[in-house]
Amino acid sequence: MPQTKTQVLKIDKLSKDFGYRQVLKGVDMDLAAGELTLLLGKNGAGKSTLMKIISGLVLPSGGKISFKGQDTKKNPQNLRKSLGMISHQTMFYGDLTAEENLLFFSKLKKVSSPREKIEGALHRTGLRKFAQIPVKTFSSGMNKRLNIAKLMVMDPELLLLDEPYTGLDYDSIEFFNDYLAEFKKKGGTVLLITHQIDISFELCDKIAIMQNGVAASHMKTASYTYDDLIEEYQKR
Amino acid sequence: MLSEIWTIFIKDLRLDLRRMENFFSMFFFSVIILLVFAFAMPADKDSHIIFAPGTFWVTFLLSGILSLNKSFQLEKENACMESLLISPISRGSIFLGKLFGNIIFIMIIQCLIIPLFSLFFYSGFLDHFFSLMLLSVISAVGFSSLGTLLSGLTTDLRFKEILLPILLFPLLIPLLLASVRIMQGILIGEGFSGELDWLKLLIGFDLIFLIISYLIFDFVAEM
Repeated sequence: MPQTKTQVLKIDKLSKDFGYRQVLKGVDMDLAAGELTLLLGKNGAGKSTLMKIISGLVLPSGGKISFKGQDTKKNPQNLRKSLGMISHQTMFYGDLTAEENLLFFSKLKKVSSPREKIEGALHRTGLRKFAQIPVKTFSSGMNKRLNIAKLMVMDPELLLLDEPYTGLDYDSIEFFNDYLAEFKKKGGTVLLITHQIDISFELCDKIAIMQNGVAASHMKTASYTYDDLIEEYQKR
Repeated sequence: MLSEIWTIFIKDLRLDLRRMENFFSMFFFSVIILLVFAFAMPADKDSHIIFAPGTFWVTFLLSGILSLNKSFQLEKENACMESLLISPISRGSIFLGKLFGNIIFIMIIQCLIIPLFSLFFYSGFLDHFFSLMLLSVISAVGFSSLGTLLSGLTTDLRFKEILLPILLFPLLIPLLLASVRIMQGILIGEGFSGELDWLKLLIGFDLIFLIISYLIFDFVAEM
Protein backbone atom coordinates (compact mmCIF):
# COMPACT_ATOMS: atom_id res chain seq x y z
CA MET A 1 0.00 0.00 0.00
CA PRO A 2 1.45 3.44 -0.90
CA GLN A 3 2.29 5.64 2.06
CA THR A 4 0.24 8.84 2.21
CA LYS A 5 2.32 11.93 2.80
CA THR A 6 1.22 14.75 5.09
CA GLN A 7 -0.41 17.54 3.17
CA VAL A 8 1.34 20.84 3.82
CA LEU A 9 -0.09 23.31 1.34
CA LYS A 10 -3.46 23.12 -0.33
CA ILE A 11 -4.41 25.51 -3.09
CA ASP A 12 -8.10 25.55 -3.85
CA LYS A 13 -9.66 27.20 -6.94
CA LEU A 14 -7.20 30.07 -6.83
CA SER A 15 -7.85 32.86 -9.29
CA LYS A 16 -6.23 36.18 -10.03
CA ASP A 17 -7.09 38.90 -12.48
CA PHE A 18 -5.28 42.15 -13.02
CA GLY A 19 -8.37 43.90 -14.34
CA TYR A 20 -7.60 43.53 -17.99
CA ARG A 21 -6.31 39.95 -17.88
CA GLN A 22 -7.15 36.86 -15.89
CA VAL A 23 -3.85 35.22 -15.05
CA LEU A 24 -5.06 32.37 -12.83
CA LYS A 25 -8.40 30.68 -13.49
CA GLY A 26 -8.98 28.33 -10.62
CA VAL A 27 -5.68 26.67 -9.78
CA ASP A 28 -5.86 23.56 -7.59
CA MET A 29 -2.70 22.07 -6.15
CA ASP A 30 -1.59 19.99 -3.19
CA LEU A 31 1.94 20.04 -1.83
CA ALA A 32 2.99 17.36 0.65
CA ALA A 33 5.82 17.09 3.17
CA GLY A 34 9.05 15.76 1.72
CA GLU A 35 7.92 16.51 -1.82
CA LEU A 36 9.36 18.74 -4.52
CA THR A 37 6.86 19.96 -7.08
CA LEU A 38 8.26 21.23 -10.35
CA LEU A 39 6.06 24.00 -11.69
CA LEU A 40 6.46 24.49 -15.41
CA GLY A 41 4.82 26.77 -17.91
CA LYS A 42 5.58 29.17 -20.71
CA ASN A 43 6.44 32.82 -20.08
CA GLY A 44 3.40 34.67 -18.75
CA ALA A 45 1.60 31.48 -17.73
CA GLY A 46 1.18 32.82 -14.19
CA LYS A 47 3.81 30.76 -12.34
CA SER A 48 5.44 33.69 -10.55
CA THR A 49 2.03 35.20 -9.78
CA LEU A 50 0.98 31.92 -8.18
CA MET A 51 4.14 31.92 -6.09
CA LYS A 52 3.61 35.52 -4.98
CA ILE A 53 0.03 34.73 -3.99
CA ILE A 54 1.16 31.73 -1.94
CA SER A 55 3.77 33.85 -0.16
CA GLY A 56 1.17 36.53 0.58
CA LEU A 57 2.82 39.24 -1.51
CA VAL A 58 -0.10 39.42 -3.94
CA LEU A 59 -3.74 39.09 -2.94
CA PRO A 60 -5.78 36.55 -4.92
CA SER A 61 -9.05 37.49 -6.61
CA GLY A 62 -10.66 34.25 -5.44
CA GLY A 63 -9.93 30.84 -3.99
CA LYS A 64 -8.24 29.68 -0.85
CA ILE A 65 -4.80 28.60 0.33
CA SER A 66 -4.35 26.45 3.42
CA PHE A 67 -1.03 25.84 5.11
CA LYS A 68 -1.07 22.88 7.51
CA GLY A 69 -4.85 23.04 7.49
CA GLN A 70 -5.07 26.72 8.36
CA ASP A 71 -6.36 29.38 5.97
CA THR A 72 -3.40 31.64 5.16
CA LYS A 73 -5.71 34.64 4.84
CA LYS A 74 -6.90 34.25 8.42
CA ASN A 75 -3.56 33.23 9.86
CA PRO A 76 -0.74 34.49 7.60
CA GLN A 77 1.91 34.33 10.35
CA ASN A 78 1.63 30.55 10.45
CA LEU A 79 2.89 30.37 6.86
CA ARG A 80 5.40 33.21 7.15
CA LYS A 81 7.14 31.50 10.07
CA SER A 82 7.77 28.46 7.90
CA LEU A 83 8.44 30.09 4.55
CA GLY A 84 11.68 30.38 2.61
CA MET A 85 11.82 32.04 -0.77
CA ILE A 86 14.16 32.70 -3.65
CA SER A 87 12.87 35.00 -6.37
CA HIS A 88 14.20 36.78 -9.44
CA GLN A 89 15.57 39.60 -7.31
CA THR A 90 18.25 39.35 -4.66
CA MET A 91 16.06 40.56 -1.76
CA PHE A 92 19.13 41.83 0.13
CA TYR A 93 20.18 45.33 1.15
CA GLY A 94 23.06 46.31 -1.11
CA ASP A 95 24.75 48.58 1.44
CA LEU A 96 24.75 45.95 4.18
CA THR A 97 27.33 43.18 4.28
CA ALA A 98 26.38 39.55 3.70
CA GLU A 99 26.60 38.87 7.43
CA GLU A 100 24.55 41.95 8.37
CA ASN A 101 21.83 40.99 5.89
CA LEU A 102 21.58 37.47 7.28
CA LEU A 103 21.66 38.72 10.84
CA PHE A 104 18.88 41.22 10.12
CA PHE A 105 16.53 38.63 8.63
CA SER A 106 17.37 36.02 11.26
CA LYS A 107 16.52 38.52 14.01
CA LEU A 108 13.15 39.18 12.37
CA LYS A 109 12.53 35.43 12.32
CA LYS A 110 13.86 35.04 15.85
CA VAL A 111 16.37 32.36 14.88
CA SER A 112 18.12 30.95 17.94
CA SER A 113 21.92 31.48 18.11
CA PRO A 114 21.93 33.16 14.69
CA ARG A 115 25.61 34.10 14.55
CA GLU A 116 26.73 30.47 14.70
CA LYS A 117 24.19 29.45 12.08
CA ILE A 118 25.20 32.35 9.82
CA GLU A 119 28.86 31.46 10.08
CA GLY A 120 28.09 27.85 9.26
CA ALA A 121 25.86 28.76 6.31
CA LEU A 122 28.38 31.22 4.88
CA HIS A 123 31.07 28.59 5.23
CA ARG A 124 28.96 25.94 3.48
CA THR A 125 28.05 28.28 0.61
CA GLY A 126 31.66 29.38 0.17
CA LEU A 127 30.90 32.98 1.13
CA ARG A 128 32.71 33.12 4.45
CA LYS A 129 35.55 35.26 3.12
CA PHE A 130 32.98 37.68 1.66
CA ALA A 131 30.97 37.94 4.89
CA GLN A 132 32.06 41.52 5.63
CA ILE A 133 31.64 42.82 2.09
CA PRO A 134 28.59 44.87 1.01
CA VAL A 135 26.20 42.75 -0.99
CA LYS A 136 26.02 45.35 -3.77
CA THR A 137 29.46 44.20 -4.90
CA PHE A 138 28.31 40.56 -5.26
CA SER A 139 27.81 38.86 -8.61
CA SER A 140 24.40 37.34 -9.37
CA GLY A 141 25.78 33.88 -8.58
CA MET A 142 27.09 35.07 -5.22
CA ASN A 143 23.72 36.63 -4.48
CA LYS A 144 22.01 33.34 -5.21
CA ARG A 145 24.46 31.53 -2.94
CA LEU A 146 23.73 34.10 -0.24
CA ASN A 147 20.04 33.32 -0.71
CA ILE A 148 20.84 29.64 -0.16
CA ALA A 149 22.77 30.61 2.98
CA LYS A 150 19.71 32.55 4.14
CA LEU A 151 17.54 29.45 3.67
CA MET A 152 20.04 27.43 5.72
CA VAL A 153 19.91 29.94 8.57
CA MET A 154 16.13 30.36 8.53
CA ASP A 155 15.49 26.63 8.31
CA PRO A 156 12.04 26.88 6.66
CA GLU A 157 9.51 24.10 6.13
CA LEU A 158 8.20 25.35 2.80
CA LEU A 159 10.41 26.61 0.00
CA LEU A 160 9.12 28.72 -2.88
CA LEU A 161 11.84 28.90 -5.51
CA ASP A 162 11.49 31.02 -8.61
CA GLU A 163 14.34 30.37 -11.05
CA PRO A 164 16.88 29.61 -8.31
CA TYR A 165 19.48 28.22 -10.71
CA THR A 166 19.92 31.43 -12.69
CA GLY A 167 23.49 32.70 -12.36
CA LEU A 168 24.76 29.64 -10.49
CA ASP A 169 27.87 27.84 -11.75
CA TYR A 170 27.98 24.05 -12.08
CA ASP A 171 29.41 23.45 -8.58
CA SER A 172 26.85 25.73 -6.99
CA ILE A 173 24.00 24.00 -8.83
CA GLU A 174 25.23 20.66 -7.54
CA PHE A 175 25.56 22.08 -4.05
CA PHE A 176 22.05 23.56 -4.20
CA ASN A 177 20.54 20.30 -5.43
CA ASP A 178 22.26 18.49 -2.57
CA TYR A 179 20.73 21.02 -0.19
CA LEU A 180 17.27 20.46 -1.72
CA ALA A 181 17.64 16.67 -1.48
CA GLU A 182 18.63 16.99 2.18
CA PHE A 183 15.76 19.43 2.76
CA LYS A 184 13.26 16.98 1.27
CA LYS A 185 14.66 14.15 3.34
CA LYS A 186 14.02 16.20 6.49
CA GLY A 187 10.36 16.52 5.44
CA GLY A 188 10.53 19.93 3.77
CA THR A 189 8.20 20.92 0.94
CA VAL A 190 9.38 22.63 -2.22
CA LEU A 191 7.61 24.40 -5.06
CA LEU A 192 10.15 25.04 -7.78
CA ILE A 193 9.77 27.14 -10.91
CA THR A 194 12.54 26.74 -13.42
CA HIS A 195 13.15 26.60 -17.12
CA GLN A 196 16.26 24.50 -16.48
CA ILE A 197 14.22 21.31 -16.28
CA ASP A 198 17.18 18.99 -16.84
CA ILE A 199 18.88 20.18 -13.66
CA SER A 200 15.88 19.65 -11.41
CA PHE A 201 14.18 16.64 -13.01
CA GLU A 202 15.93 14.04 -10.83
CA LEU A 203 14.88 15.82 -7.64
CA CYS A 204 11.22 16.34 -8.39
CA ASP A 205 8.40 14.13 -7.13
CA LYS A 206 5.50 15.91 -8.75
CA ILE A 207 5.10 17.85 -11.96
CA ALA A 208 2.65 20.68 -12.52
CA ILE A 209 2.28 22.40 -15.85
CA MET A 210 0.51 25.72 -16.04
CA GLN A 211 -1.39 26.67 -19.14
CA ASN A 212 -4.14 29.22 -19.70
CA GLY A 213 -4.35 29.99 -16.01
CA VAL A 214 -4.85 26.43 -14.76
CA ALA A 215 -2.32 23.90 -13.52
CA ALA A 216 -2.45 20.19 -14.27
CA SER A 217 -0.29 18.16 -11.92
CA HIS A 218 0.68 14.50 -11.56
CA MET A 219 3.18 12.44 -9.64
CA LYS A 220 6.45 11.49 -11.33
CA THR A 221 6.34 7.74 -11.58
CA ALA A 222 9.44 5.54 -11.79
CA SER A 223 8.90 4.95 -15.49
CA TYR A 224 8.40 8.64 -16.31
CA THR A 225 11.54 9.95 -17.99
CA TYR A 226 12.94 13.37 -18.75
CA ASP A 227 12.03 12.85 -22.43
CA ASP A 228 8.43 12.09 -21.41
CA LEU A 229 8.30 15.37 -19.55
CA ILE A 230 9.69 17.37 -22.47
CA GLU A 231 7.19 15.70 -24.79
CA GLU A 232 4.31 16.46 -22.41
CA TYR A 233 5.48 20.04 -21.97
CA GLN A 234 5.82 20.68 -25.68
CA LYS A 235 2.38 19.24 -26.45
CA ARG A 236 0.76 21.94 -24.34
CA MET B 1 7.21 43.37 18.79
CA LEU B 2 9.65 45.86 20.35
CA SER B 3 12.63 43.80 19.18
CA GLU B 4 11.25 43.77 15.62
CA ILE B 5 10.78 47.56 15.64
CA TRP B 6 14.28 47.99 17.05
CA THR B 7 15.80 45.65 14.44
CA ILE B 8 14.19 47.56 11.55
CA PHE B 9 15.10 50.92 13.08
CA ILE B 10 18.75 49.95 13.54
CA LYS B 11 18.92 48.55 10.02
CA ASP B 12 17.54 51.83 8.58
CA LEU B 13 19.92 53.87 10.68
CA ARG B 14 22.85 51.73 9.52
CA LEU B 15 21.82 52.13 5.89
CA ASP B 16 21.49 55.90 6.36
CA LEU B 17 24.99 56.06 7.82
CA ARG B 18 26.35 54.09 4.87
CA ARG B 19 24.54 56.37 2.44
CA MET B 20 25.58 59.75 3.73
CA GLU B 21 24.40 61.35 0.48
CA ASN B 22 20.87 61.35 1.91
CA PHE B 23 22.02 63.22 4.98
CA PHE B 24 24.13 65.73 3.07
CA SER B 25 21.44 66.44 0.49
CA MET B 26 18.93 67.13 3.28
CA PHE B 27 21.36 69.28 5.21
CA PHE B 28 22.56 71.41 2.32
CA PHE B 29 19.03 71.80 1.01
CA SER B 30 18.00 73.16 4.42
CA VAL B 31 20.98 75.53 4.52
CA ILE B 32 20.12 76.91 1.07
CA ILE B 33 16.49 77.56 2.04
CA LEU B 34 17.57 79.31 5.25
CA LEU B 35 20.10 81.43 3.35
CA VAL B 36 17.56 82.56 0.76
CA PHE B 37 15.03 83.56 3.41
CA ALA B 38 17.68 85.23 5.56
CA PHE B 39 18.71 87.45 2.64
CA ALA B 40 15.11 88.29 1.77
CA MET B 41 14.12 89.39 5.27
CA PRO B 42 14.64 92.70 7.08
CA ALA B 43 17.57 92.42 9.48
CA ASP B 44 15.87 93.58 12.70
CA LYS B 45 14.98 91.31 15.62
CA ASP B 46 11.23 92.03 15.59
CA SER B 47 10.89 91.05 11.93
CA HIS B 48 12.86 87.90 12.57
CA ILE B 49 10.56 86.87 15.42
CA ILE B 50 7.56 87.35 13.13
CA PHE B 51 8.95 85.72 9.98
CA ALA B 52 11.51 83.23 11.28
CA PRO B 53 9.02 80.57 12.46
CA GLY B 54 7.49 80.37 8.98
CA THR B 55 10.95 80.03 7.45
CA PHE B 56 11.94 77.40 9.98
CA TRP B 57 8.91 75.20 9.30
CA VAL B 58 9.16 75.57 5.53
CA THR B 59 12.74 74.33 5.86
CA PHE B 60 11.59 71.50 8.11
CA LEU B 61 8.87 70.51 5.67
CA LEU B 62 10.95 70.55 2.50
CA SER B 63 13.97 68.78 3.98
CA GLY B 64 11.68 66.29 5.74
CA ILE B 65 10.17 65.30 2.40
CA LEU B 66 13.63 64.20 1.26
CA SER B 67 13.85 61.92 4.29
CA LEU B 68 10.42 60.43 3.64
CA ASN B 69 11.13 59.86 -0.04
CA LYS B 70 14.15 57.74 0.75
CA SER B 71 12.40 55.82 3.52
CA PHE B 72 10.79 53.12 1.38
CA GLN B 73 13.23 53.58 -1.49
CA LEU B 74 15.70 51.54 0.61
CA GLU B 75 13.20 48.67 0.65
CA LYS B 76 12.35 48.90 -3.02
CA GLU B 77 15.89 48.21 -4.15
CA ASN B 78 16.41 44.49 -4.80
CA ALA B 79 12.81 43.82 -3.68
CA CYS B 80 13.81 43.95 0.01
CA MET B 81 10.26 44.98 0.86
CA GLU B 82 9.12 41.55 -0.32
CA SER B 83 11.62 39.96 2.01
CA LEU B 84 10.28 42.06 4.88
CA LEU B 85 6.67 41.27 4.04
CA ILE B 86 7.21 37.52 4.03
CA SER B 87 8.98 37.71 7.40
CA PRO B 88 6.90 36.64 10.39
CA ILE B 89 6.48 40.14 11.75
CA SER B 90 3.48 42.43 11.91
CA ARG B 91 3.11 45.19 9.33
CA GLY B 92 2.80 47.55 12.30
CA SER B 93 6.39 46.74 13.34
CA ILE B 94 7.63 47.70 9.88
CA PHE B 95 5.71 50.98 10.10
CA LEU B 96 6.97 51.85 13.59
CA GLY B 97 10.57 50.87 12.76
CA LYS B 98 10.53 53.15 9.73
CA LEU B 99 8.71 55.89 11.64
CA PHE B 100 11.38 56.03 14.35
CA GLY B 101 14.08 55.98 11.68
CA ASN B 102 12.50 59.00 10.00
CA ILE B 103 12.04 60.88 13.28
CA ILE B 104 15.66 60.36 14.31
CA PHE B 105 16.93 61.34 10.86
CA ILE B 106 14.86 64.55 10.91
CA MET B 107 15.98 65.34 14.47
CA ILE B 108 19.65 65.01 13.57
CA ILE B 109 19.12 67.54 10.78
CA GLN B 110 17.16 69.86 13.12
CA CYS B 111 19.98 69.65 15.66
CA LEU B 112 22.28 71.16 13.07
CA ILE B 113 19.77 73.54 11.56
CA ILE B 114 18.76 75.36 14.77
CA PRO B 115 22.29 76.77 15.40
CA LEU B 116 22.47 77.78 11.73
CA PHE B 117 19.08 79.37 12.08
CA SER B 118 20.47 81.51 14.90
CA LEU B 119 23.48 82.38 12.78
CA PHE B 120 21.48 83.53 9.77
CA PHE B 121 18.71 85.18 11.78
CA TYR B 122 18.72 86.62 15.30
CA SER B 123 21.46 85.03 17.42
CA GLY B 124 19.26 85.03 20.54
CA PHE B 125 17.31 82.10 19.00
CA LEU B 126 20.06 79.78 20.22
CA ASP B 127 19.00 80.53 23.81
CA HIS B 128 15.81 78.58 23.02
CA PHE B 129 17.66 75.58 21.55
CA PHE B 130 16.15 72.95 23.82
CA SER B 131 12.62 74.32 23.55
CA LEU B 132 12.93 74.39 19.76
CA MET B 133 14.30 70.84 19.74
CA LEU B 134 11.41 69.66 21.91
CA LEU B 135 8.95 71.36 19.58
CA SER B 136 10.71 69.74 16.60
CA VAL B 137 10.37 66.31 18.22
CA ILE B 138 6.64 66.80 18.84
CA SER B 139 6.09 68.05 15.29
CA ALA B 140 8.30 65.34 13.79
CA VAL B 141 6.06 62.62 15.30
CA GLY B 142 2.97 63.86 13.44
CA PHE B 143 4.90 64.73 10.30
CA SER B 144 6.64 61.35 10.17
CA SER B 145 3.51 59.34 11.06
CA LEU B 146 1.57 60.71 8.12
CA GLY B 147 4.66 60.90 5.93
CA THR B 148 5.73 57.30 6.54
CA LEU B 149 2.24 56.06 5.72
CA LEU B 150 1.99 58.10 2.52
CA SER B 151 5.56 57.28 1.55
CA GLY B 152 4.65 53.58 1.78
CA LEU B 153 1.52 54.23 -0.23
CA THR B 154 3.27 56.08 -3.06
CA THR B 155 6.52 54.13 -3.21
CA ASP B 156 5.46 51.98 -6.16
CA LEU B 157 3.79 54.79 -8.06
CA ARG B 158 5.18 56.83 -10.90
CA PHE B 159 6.02 60.45 -9.98
CA LYS B 160 6.10 59.47 -6.30
CA GLU B 161 8.47 62.37 -5.53
CA ILE B 162 5.74 64.78 -6.69
CA LEU B 163 2.78 62.81 -5.37
CA LEU B 164 4.05 62.54 -1.81
CA PRO B 165 4.16 66.30 -1.11
CA ILE B 166 0.87 66.84 -2.97
CA LEU B 167 -0.85 64.34 -0.69
CA LEU B 168 1.06 65.20 2.48
CA PHE B 169 1.21 69.00 2.64
CA PRO B 170 -2.54 69.72 2.78
CA LEU B 171 -2.95 67.18 5.60
CA LEU B 172 -0.13 68.82 7.54
CA ILE B 173 -1.72 72.28 7.64
CA PRO B 174 -2.94 71.97 11.28
CA LEU B 175 0.49 70.73 12.36
CA LEU B 176 2.25 73.58 10.59
CA LEU B 177 -0.06 76.27 11.94
CA ALA B 178 0.35 74.96 15.48
CA SER B 179 4.13 74.64 15.14
CA VAL B 180 4.50 78.19 13.81
CA ARG B 181 2.38 79.68 16.58
CA ILE B 182 4.14 77.71 19.34
CA MET B 183 7.53 78.68 17.95
CA GLN B 184 6.56 82.36 17.97
CA GLY B 185 5.66 81.94 21.64
CA ILE B 186 9.03 80.31 22.34
CA LEU B 187 10.97 83.06 20.52
CA ILE B 188 9.32 85.88 22.45
CA GLY B 189 10.19 84.10 25.66
CA GLU B 190 6.79 82.73 26.64
CA GLY B 191 7.87 79.12 26.17
CA PHE B 192 5.19 76.50 25.57
CA SER B 193 2.79 77.97 28.11
CA GLY B 194 1.95 80.95 25.89
CA GLU B 195 0.32 78.82 23.21
CA LEU B 196 -1.19 75.96 25.19
CA ASP B 197 -4.18 75.54 22.89
CA TRP B 198 -1.93 75.15 19.88
CA LEU B 199 0.22 72.71 21.82
CA LYS B 200 -2.85 70.61 22.60
CA LEU B 201 -3.80 70.68 18.92
CA LEU B 202 -0.31 69.58 17.96
CA ILE B 203 -0.24 66.69 20.44
CA GLY B 204 -3.77 65.68 19.40
CA PHE B 205 -2.68 65.71 15.75
CA ASP B 206 0.32 63.49 16.64
CA LEU B 207 -1.81 60.97 18.51
CA ILE B 208 -4.60 60.78 15.94
CA PHE B 209 -2.32 60.34 12.93
CA LEU B 210 0.07 58.01 14.75
CA ILE B 211 -2.80 55.65 15.58
CA ILE B 212 -4.56 55.98 12.21
CA SER B 213 -1.34 55.51 10.24
CA TYR B 214 -0.36 52.48 12.33
CA LEU B 215 -3.75 50.87 11.73
CA ILE B 216 -3.94 51.72 8.02
CA PHE B 217 -0.40 50.59 7.24
CA ASP B 218 -1.57 46.98 7.24
CA PHE B 219 -3.69 47.69 4.18
CA VAL B 220 -1.00 49.82 2.56
CA ALA B 221 1.50 46.96 2.87
CA GLU B 222 -0.98 44.52 1.31
CA MET B 223 -1.31 46.83 -1.69
